[in-house]
Amino acid sequence: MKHASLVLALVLLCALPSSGQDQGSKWQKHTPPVKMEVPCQTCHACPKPTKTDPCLVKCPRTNILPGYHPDQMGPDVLRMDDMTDQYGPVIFAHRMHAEMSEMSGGCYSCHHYNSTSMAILSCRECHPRSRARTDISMPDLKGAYHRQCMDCHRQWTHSTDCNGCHFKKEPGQTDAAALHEQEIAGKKHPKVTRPTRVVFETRNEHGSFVTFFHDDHAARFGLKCTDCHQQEGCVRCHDAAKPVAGSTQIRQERTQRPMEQLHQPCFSCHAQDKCESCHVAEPMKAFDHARSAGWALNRFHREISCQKCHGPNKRFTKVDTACKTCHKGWSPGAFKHEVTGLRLDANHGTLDCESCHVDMDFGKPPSCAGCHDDKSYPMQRPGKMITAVPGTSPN
Amino acid sequence: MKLPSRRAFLKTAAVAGGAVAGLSATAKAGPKNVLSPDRKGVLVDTTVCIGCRTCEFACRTAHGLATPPLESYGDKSVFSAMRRPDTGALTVVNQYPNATKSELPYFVKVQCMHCDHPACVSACIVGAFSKQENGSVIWDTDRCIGCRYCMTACPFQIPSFEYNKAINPEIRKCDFCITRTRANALPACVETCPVEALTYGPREEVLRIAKQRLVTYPERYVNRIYGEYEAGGTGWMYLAGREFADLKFPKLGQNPAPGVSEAIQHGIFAYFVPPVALYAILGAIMWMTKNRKEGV
Repeated sequence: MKHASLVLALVLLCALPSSGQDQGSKWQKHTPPVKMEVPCQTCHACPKPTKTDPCLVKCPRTNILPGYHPDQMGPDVLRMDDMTDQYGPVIFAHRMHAEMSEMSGGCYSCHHYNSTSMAILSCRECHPRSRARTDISMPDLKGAYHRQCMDCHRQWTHSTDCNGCHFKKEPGQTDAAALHEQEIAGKKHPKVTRPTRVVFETRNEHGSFVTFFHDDHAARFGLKCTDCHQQEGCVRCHDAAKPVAGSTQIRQERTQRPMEQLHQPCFSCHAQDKCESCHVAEPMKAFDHARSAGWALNRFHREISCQKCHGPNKRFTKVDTACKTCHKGWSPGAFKHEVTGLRLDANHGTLDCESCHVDMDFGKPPSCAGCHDDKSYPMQRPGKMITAVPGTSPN
Repeated sequence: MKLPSRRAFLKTAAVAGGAVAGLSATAKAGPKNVLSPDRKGVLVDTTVCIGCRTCEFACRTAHGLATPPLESYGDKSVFSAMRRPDTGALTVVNQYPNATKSELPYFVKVQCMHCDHPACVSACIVGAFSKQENGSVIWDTDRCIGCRYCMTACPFQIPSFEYNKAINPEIRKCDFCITRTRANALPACVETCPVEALTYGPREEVLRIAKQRLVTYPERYVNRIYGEYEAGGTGWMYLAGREFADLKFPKLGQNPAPGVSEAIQHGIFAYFVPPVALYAILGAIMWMTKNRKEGV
């Protein structure tokens, strides 16, 4: 984070002047020579730009900003009434779109050009309003707006209908746009629900089914959505002709994506694996540590991340199940037995561990036979249960 | 009055023919199209077009053609069949599948290409067609005799004819909105396009922008500008995300379309030699045949 802010500060210091409709004060200056995050040629067409002739490239489509503000900081709802002609204004739920854009290129997918200053430029700051103009190198504002909106909107509505976004101007009518503006103000995008299990039916010779446990990957490996989902189209979630994504019903769809693209997210970790380790005859059951590793996780171990025991490598290797492998700093004197859920009574609290845990093997149930002939665990306990341990009753 | 003998007529004709041949040496080139460097062009980016067909509506409105209401143009069923411009619609949009993104098909707007060397101008026997300084290829309805040579000459099959009209049928095609552009307005389709898939400007500038797009987004386009050289260059040019042949663009060479027809037409009458030679041969045959008869 510190590094990121350092880079940000550096880039801010040497912010580029930039080409736009005007070269006004919104552009910060930068003094060469400085180390920029982007090559000089991205913004300057000539090898030695000067103040008088910076030979700027018109709108270089490169993400110069090292980062964008969080989507909550952007405007909530925008009223786009720059060029109302036949149609009235468009009420644009900016924040909701910003939230949705997380997995499809982020802010950059619309704000595709920015100076190195912190200013996030709006469409109208570069795109001219008039279609009849001499500089036709970039689309006018009407074209720019529609190009941003229509590729997604026509995909999920299967229509190019204007009234989906525009309020038609009708004299004497109440301002429907203003009503809509109030209606959507402050609204947030519903939380995106994640699939638990995705089963792919393939034509692989080793076996038809590949089972992907989405939650296992996301939660256990600590992945962010954007680690895998970077260029999702809107139709991945939104399609007027399909059931709503995130509903509990089972969705079945044919994927259109080519093989390389489909395997790419898996190969970042599974590149060394053979086909048959994923392509099997039947859909797989959810991961079970006891079945796969031969060592059942207790309630404490189930709570911690895989990396705690298996290390940071994404390919996990076998770990010695002896307690001391992980609990290196453990000593009998400092140990509080309460953490196991059983508070030892006064008689047992003073005993050595080995009196009950034979050979100091804490994986096995304790034995009472060393002192008692008529007692056995868990029928009788050497103290009081303070929390429930799965499979036992707390008393 | 004594009619001139057949022999005398032929003699006169031969002399006259020679005289015309001499004259035609200077007149042969005829009125040549001088292309203005400021002539306008349009870049149609088929990867940007969303197939809303608003241009079809705007075109009909601008040309006083009957049109259904704008809302009805959202009907996507028209894309099931390939359409061509006709007397009721001077421009139409067709849909073609996109192999990589099936949900985003390609749309191709079809209208007159406004060739730099128009075959219709060359083929029109009454000189009704003309290439204007601003790039428009237009025609004069008052001069048109309805021969429809323009229809067969056009490599893009654009001019259409009002077959169903018995009296005064007209040839119709896109006129690049000449009345609008003369009044410094944009062509109706260019003005209305919501995504500015149609970029209007001087042809050279439009071409430069097209080349720039090919450099900036090589993954988006096939590396070709249709119309840059086709049929000697056209005023309307296209960028596409798949091969132009797949989008039903005619495969044309780089030579101007009138080259072939003009070569034949002008060849037949070049310096008036072929007709004179033909008459000379016929005359010689007659002469010899007559001599033989007299000899008998």
